[in-house]
Amino acid sequence: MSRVAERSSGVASRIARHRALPAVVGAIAVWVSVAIIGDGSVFGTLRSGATVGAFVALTGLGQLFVIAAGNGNIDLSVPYVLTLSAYVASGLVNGNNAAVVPAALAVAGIGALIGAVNATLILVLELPPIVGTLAVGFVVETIYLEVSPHVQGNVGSFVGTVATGGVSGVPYMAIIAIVLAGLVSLVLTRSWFGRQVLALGQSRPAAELAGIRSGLVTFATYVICAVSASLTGFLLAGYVGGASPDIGASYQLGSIAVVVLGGCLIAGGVANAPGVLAASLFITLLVTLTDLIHVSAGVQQIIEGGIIVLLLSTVGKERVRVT
Amino acid sequence: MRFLRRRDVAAVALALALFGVMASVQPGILTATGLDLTLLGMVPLAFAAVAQMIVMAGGDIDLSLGSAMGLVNAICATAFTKSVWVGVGELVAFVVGYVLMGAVIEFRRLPALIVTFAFSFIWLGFALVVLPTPGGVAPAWMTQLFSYSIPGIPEPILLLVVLAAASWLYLQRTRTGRLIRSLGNKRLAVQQFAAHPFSVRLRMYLAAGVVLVLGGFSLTAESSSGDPNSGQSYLLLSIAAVVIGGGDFAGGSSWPIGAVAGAVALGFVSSLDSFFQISANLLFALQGLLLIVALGLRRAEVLGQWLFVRRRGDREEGAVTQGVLPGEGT
Amino acid sequence: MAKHFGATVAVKDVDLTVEKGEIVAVVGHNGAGKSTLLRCIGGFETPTRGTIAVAGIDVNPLTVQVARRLGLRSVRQELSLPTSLSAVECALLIRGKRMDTWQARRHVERSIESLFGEMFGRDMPNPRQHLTNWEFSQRQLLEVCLAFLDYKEGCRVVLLDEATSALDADITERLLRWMRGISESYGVAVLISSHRLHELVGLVDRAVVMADGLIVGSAANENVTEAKLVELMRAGMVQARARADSRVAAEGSGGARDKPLSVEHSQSERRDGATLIEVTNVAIHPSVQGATLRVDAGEIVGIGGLEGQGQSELLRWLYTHLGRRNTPISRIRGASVLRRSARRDSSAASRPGLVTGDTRREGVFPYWSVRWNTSIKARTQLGRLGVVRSREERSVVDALLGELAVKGRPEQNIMELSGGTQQKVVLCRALLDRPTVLLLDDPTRGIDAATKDEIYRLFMDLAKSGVGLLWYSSEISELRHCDRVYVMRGGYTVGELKGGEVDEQVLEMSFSHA
Repeated sequence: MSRVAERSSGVASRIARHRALPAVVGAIAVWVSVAIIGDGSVFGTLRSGATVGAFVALTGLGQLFVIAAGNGNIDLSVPYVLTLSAYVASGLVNGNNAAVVPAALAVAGIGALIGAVNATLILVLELPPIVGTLAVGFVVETIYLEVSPHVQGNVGSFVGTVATGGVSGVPYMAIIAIVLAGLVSLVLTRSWFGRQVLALGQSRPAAELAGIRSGLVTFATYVICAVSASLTGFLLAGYVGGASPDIGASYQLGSIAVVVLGGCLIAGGVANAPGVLAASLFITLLVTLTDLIHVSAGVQQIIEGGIIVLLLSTVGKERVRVT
Repeated sequence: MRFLRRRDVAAVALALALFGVMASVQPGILTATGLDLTLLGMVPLAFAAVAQMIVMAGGDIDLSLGSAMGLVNAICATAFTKSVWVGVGELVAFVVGYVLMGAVIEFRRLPALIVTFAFSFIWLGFALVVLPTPGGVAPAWMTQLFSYSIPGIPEPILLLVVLAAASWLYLQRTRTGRLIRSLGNKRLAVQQFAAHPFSVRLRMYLAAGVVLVLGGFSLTAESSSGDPNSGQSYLLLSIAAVVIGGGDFAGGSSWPIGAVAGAVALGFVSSLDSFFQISANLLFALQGLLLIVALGLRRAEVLGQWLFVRRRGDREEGAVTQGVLPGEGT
Repeated sequence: MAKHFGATVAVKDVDLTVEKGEIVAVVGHNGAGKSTLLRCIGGFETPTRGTIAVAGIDVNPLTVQVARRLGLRSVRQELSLPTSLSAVECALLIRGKRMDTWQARRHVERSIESLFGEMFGRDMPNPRQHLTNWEFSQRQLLEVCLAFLDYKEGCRVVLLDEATSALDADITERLLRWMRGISESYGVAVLISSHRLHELVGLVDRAVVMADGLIVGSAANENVTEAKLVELMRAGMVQARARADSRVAAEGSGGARDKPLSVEHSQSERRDGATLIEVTNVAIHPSVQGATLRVDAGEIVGIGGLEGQGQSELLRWLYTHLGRRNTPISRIRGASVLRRSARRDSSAASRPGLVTGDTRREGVFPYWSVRWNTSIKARTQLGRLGVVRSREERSVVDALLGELAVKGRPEQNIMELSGGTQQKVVLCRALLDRPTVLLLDDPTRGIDAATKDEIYRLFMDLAKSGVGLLWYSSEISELRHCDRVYVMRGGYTVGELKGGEVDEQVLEMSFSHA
């Protein structure tokens, strides 16, 4: 039975902000700490944190769709797709700025294909998402390991500038991330596709009774996730200056962590794009902070892990869903 | 014949088949030393797979497994040089921490996926504290323990058999093991067996933790040194091994023999590149394909039954008349 | 003892004593409170008021574990045994030993096999197999078997809460006979709630009849006959109705049948006689064996009968099959659902609407506002190129919510509203794309009386405007609002009744053993 409360909870976006609160507070707290302890410029830290964080945020925004659709959906192939794209992009562009657009399309196409494969395995063969996406990831890993020795070249100066540069102190990557987060937010609230995803995550039976085609919607989310991972890989290659096999390592669980810490439920149904941004910033700055305290690498890791657990205990308390 | 339907038979068959393939290409492995060398590398993975299987039987998943093994490895390579008690103490502390992780998961009903992910940082962190750079020395007694051999039977086989048997016994024949399997299947079912989900989950992580410690021992013995990152690859492979061996994410399913066989199969796949002239990179694809095939086959059995057995679905008799819509005229 | 769930009183005031070695049956129609009563005794729920005493000692709090230790064993309709274990393992776990020897296992295996055979007259499937491989009915049998496992020692009372409903008649008879035997010899008491009255005849010591949360009568020994029990239920129902009527009269809220409808109908588009659904002898495996019914435009057709006789399955099936042809719907421009203007496009929804009573699981989207909960189904009308037309969404949805008097603001999160209001929102959702036929699967389940009344009036208004309603209700009194009522039993439609005060006929038809 539900209780009738006097106070209202407000519009959906108000709830969204609410859920992102711990991540935002965390990000600010860490940034302030860095500013106090560090000796670099306050905004310099923010700048670099925002740039690096933007990459995680981009993959997180894609992962957000998959997780929001609920029902155990998750995409573990993200780092592999990302790495493959970095290689493919480097090879296709090969320093030639004019080739950027076709290369981007090609890379996106590859992402879409991989996403489709993921979705097919999960929907048709009924593989559990963790296993299915992981298996696909392994195959993709093979592909890029095979491809990598033959790839020379980089993604060109244009992409390089986008990835590393900025305008009046604001990094391009940060702008991209913010714009995309805004776009994702809009999609989730103002488009019927987004609403269908969220409906599916909240209650699959109710969604299907309301005429939502759960298979198609889920398929689309996997495609979105893989495409965002691939385009991030493209940009990352510009940032790093090339592609390497372990370029994607931290995005495996990073893309999931920022989604959950940003206020989305792992069970689906609630998604928070601004939260993903805040969580990305938080995690990135956290690494900076622990660097600054001049603690050993080990203690750094412990602190990071510990803070995530703490944050989870505040954010992650899932609403007791009635089964 | 019913025995063939068991989910772990496929994994065992696969392991044997791969072994046969390798033996035909390089008969050298059929000797005791040959087997020893080949199988030695699989032992740590087998332990990892069993630990993961225990956690999955209880309905969770452990993403911190790789880091945990790295931590045990690091401890083994350092603490025992000081004194046995320091080593034992640190290992006990680890197990306690591991159980605590389980407590956090159960107490706050948090998703295991994320909590264990967070803890993977914590384990790695401790490993780096204990052993900042790869190095250290495996204690002599540990290396000896794992090279003890009965004439004729390579030690790894012995270890694998004992591991499979022991975990099977634990999960199938003890009260706690059965409770763990109930927990994964229907969390509250344990109440009717006069047990509390919280205590069962703690026991589950205790068991998995102990297995991880033993796995760390074998890893240390095999590499003779320590490296905090040495366990990373075991994470995904352990999940793959459990799944190939018959386990699934639904919780409650436990196939210890399958998990060990799956680990062996994956181990063979990992060493395929040295047997055949194939690129080492292909291994990853093969592992991925193996996963897909193993699961696909399971579906295929269900699919096959559906296709060939007369379907008892929506058998509809009688007539339905779609109604006339208002406005369409009568 | 009493048990309230929020505003719903499942058990009003029950005094019950069960003696050692007694077999007591608890019978009644849907919603009488039998299940709740047994759940409280078994420790699964805590009574709101009153006490439960075992062997003379008040037990508080009575949890599942405490109940078990006191010798109370429950078997419920939802299976509680984990399917990852085998029968032997379940038995061993219940036994509670730490580790077992091969002999102990063999012993347990043999004893449950023989017990199974004794109780049900058939062989147990492989007790070493994981229960996933067993059929549902076999698992049910096992649960009952395990409940009696220690009948010679610790077991005092076995509570069978609809545990036999899915079992074959001959098995149930055998089981009851066996229970009869051991209860006499070992003093085990059995409290069994069941719909299958004919099975209880001659095999229970006492039958207690519940209706509307109260015990309305009982019969003992040779007086336990089907006719007598149904008669008692009928009397109970009459009393309950009288109570409800007097309460309504006292509160002055007006029953649905009394007040004239105040909603205007400018042009009633009732297509009298146009048949919307006609179904002849439909069988849907496994629960519907032969259903025949008809729904015309403007009619409210009810389906009655005990729960689980195939009503839900039939409705779902109709929902998927009637909606197959997907006709585009024209934009709704603030037109009231209840008032249909001639301007409305004739290509109305061929898709029917379905509203289920399981609001929490199949109805609400718990993280969304009322407005979003309502609009989701009407995606095609309220969107252009996939984008939500917010202004239109707001106006159309809010108008509908207002018309149906949904309490609360449209921006509110739906979980803040009462269960009844939530259900109204789900109804709005179904109505928004203007279905021509509305399928209702026990929609007023667990809803407060006032909201129920509002919903009944809504149904009648809908019917007046030409919508056909097919309404399954587990509560007999609701069927009064229908023009015609079918009763389903055992997967068949066993009768068609003309509308009105059909309560007693529905009751009888639900139970009689054809």
